[in-house]
Amino acid sequence: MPDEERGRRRRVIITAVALALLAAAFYVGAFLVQRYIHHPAH
Amino acid sequence: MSNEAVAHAGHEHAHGPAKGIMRWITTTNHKDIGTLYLVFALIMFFVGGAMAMVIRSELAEPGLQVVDPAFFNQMMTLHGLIMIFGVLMPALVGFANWMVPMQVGAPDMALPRLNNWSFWLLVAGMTMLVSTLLMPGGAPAMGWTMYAPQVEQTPYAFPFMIFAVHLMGISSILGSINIIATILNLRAPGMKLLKMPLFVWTWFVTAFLLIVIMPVLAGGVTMLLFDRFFDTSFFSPAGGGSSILWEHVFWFFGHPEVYVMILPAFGIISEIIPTFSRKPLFGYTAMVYATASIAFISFVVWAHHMFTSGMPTAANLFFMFSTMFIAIPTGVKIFNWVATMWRGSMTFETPMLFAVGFLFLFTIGGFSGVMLALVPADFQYHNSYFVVAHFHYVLVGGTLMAIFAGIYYWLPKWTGHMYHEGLGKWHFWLSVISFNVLFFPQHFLGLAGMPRRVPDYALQFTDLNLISSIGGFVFGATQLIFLYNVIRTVYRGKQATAQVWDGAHGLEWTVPSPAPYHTFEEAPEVP
Repeated sequence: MPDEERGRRRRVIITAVALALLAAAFYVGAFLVQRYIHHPAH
Repeated sequence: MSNEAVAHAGHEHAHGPAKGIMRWITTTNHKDIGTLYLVFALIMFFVGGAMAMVIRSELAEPGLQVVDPAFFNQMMTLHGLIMIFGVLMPALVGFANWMVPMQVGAPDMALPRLNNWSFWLLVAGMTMLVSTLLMPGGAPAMGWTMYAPQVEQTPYAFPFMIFAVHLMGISSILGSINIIATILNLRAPGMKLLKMPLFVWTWFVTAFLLIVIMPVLAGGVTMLLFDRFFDTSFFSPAGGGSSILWEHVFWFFGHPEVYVMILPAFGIISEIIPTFSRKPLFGYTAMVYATASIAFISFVVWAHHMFTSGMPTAANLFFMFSTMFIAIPTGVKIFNWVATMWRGSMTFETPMLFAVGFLFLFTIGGFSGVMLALVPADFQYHNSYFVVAHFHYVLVGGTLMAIFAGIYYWLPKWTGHMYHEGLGKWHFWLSVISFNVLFFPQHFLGLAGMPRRVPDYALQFTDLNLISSIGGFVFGATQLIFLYNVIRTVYRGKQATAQVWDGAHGLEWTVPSPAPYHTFEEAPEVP
C-alpha cells in the first residue's frame, strides 16, 4: 500500500473515532443535564 | 502468475455491481446506497402520506366519522415520525451518498461498509416503529415529541419506539461520521474547502449538527426507558424529576433537527438556481458562513418551543431574541438566491420551478416562524393549527420542494434518462396550488383558536377544515404523477447527455449519464 494511501486511511480512522467520541460525550451530557433542571416542587 | 491472472488482479476494482438481491443487501457502493436511501424515502413518503390522508379525512368534517380518537392520535404520531425520520432525512442522506463523493472527486465514501450498515439500521428501526401498529394498544400516540411522563403510558409499543429511535439515531450518527470523514479526507487535489459545491458544504455542517444532537435524543429516550422499566424518576415530578427536563432535552435535539432537514435543502437550491440562471452563485462565501451561522445559532434557540412552560421571563427573552437572530443568516441566503437570479438568463425547467416554489413557500414559513418567535404572540399561537401551518410550510414547502427539485435535477445523471418535462410541470403546479389550499387556511384556523392534534373540533372551524382536506387529497393524488414520472424515467426516458443542463457546473457533470458504477478512481482535475 503506498504511503499516501496509508496516510489517508489513518486520517479517516482518526476522524471517525474523534467524531464518535464527540457523539458519546453528548450522550453522557444528556444525562448530566438532569442535575441542573429540577421540578419546582423538588 | 499467468498473464490472465495478472490482468484480472489489475481490474479487481473495475467490476460492475453484483447480481440479484444480494447487490442491494451487501453493497458498499455509494451510488447503490444513495439509491437505496432514495427508494426507501419514496416508499415511506407514501406510507406517511397515507396516514396524512387518514388525518385529513377525519378532519374534513366536525365530529368523529372515520377513525376513533386513539387511532387518530397514532396516525398523527406516526405521520410525524415517519415523515421526519423515514422520508426527509433519508432522502437528503440519499442525495449526500450520491452527490458528495462525486462533487468532491472521491471514488466513494470514506467508510463504505459502515455506509451499508447505516442504511440497514435505518430500515430496521423504521420497520420496528411501523410494526407497533400491529401491537396490542396500537402505535405510540403522544405525538412525535414524545412528551414525558405521559408517553410512558404507551402500552406494548413503548420499548419498541425507544429502540427504533435508538437504531435510527445510530444510523444517522454513523452516516454523519462517514460524510465528514469523506469531505475532510477524500477530496480531489485542488478541491479546497472554499471551492466545494454548496451542497457539500451544507451537508458538512449538517453532519456535525447530527453528531451533536442525535446522542442527546438517544440519552433522552434512554432516560424514558429507565423511568418506565427501572423505577427512575428523570421525568416524573412524583419521584422528584421534572417533565420540563424532557422538553429541554428533546428540543435541544428537536430544533437543530429542523435545520438538519433544511440545510441540505438549501444546498440543493444553491446548486439549481445558478444552473438555471446561468450565473455563478451570488455571494458563495457569505452562503458558507450563513450555513455555519445558522447551525451554530440553532443550538441556542431550542426553548422557543417552551415559551408557555413557565420559564423565567429572562429565559423567554433570550430565546426570543436568539430565534429572531437566526433570521439574519437565513435572509442572507434568500437574498443571495434572488441576487443570483437577478439579470440571469433564466429558464424554468421543472427543477427551477420547484426551486422558485421553494423560495416563496419557505419564506412564508420563515415569516410565520418569526411571528411564533415573539413571546407574547406565541402565548396565543402555541399548540394551535398556526404552528401546524408554519412547520408544514418549512418542511413541505421548503424541504420537500427542494427534494423534488433535486430529484428532477440529478435524476438524468443517476438514471441516464431524462424525465418527462410535461409531467414534471403538472406535478409542480398541482403540488404548489394544492399545498397552499391545504396549509394556508390552517394559519387562520390556528389564529381563530383551533388546537392541533385533535380529531374533532368546534363547528366554526368546519369550512376551512373542509378546504384544507380537499387540498390535502389533491396534494396526495398529485404525488402519484411524480411516482409515475420517476418510474417512467428509469425505464423509458430519453437518453440524457453527460452535461444534462447547459448551465450546470461541477465534477458530477464531467462523467457520463448514467454515472458509471465507479467514478474518480483516478483523482480528477479540479478547475
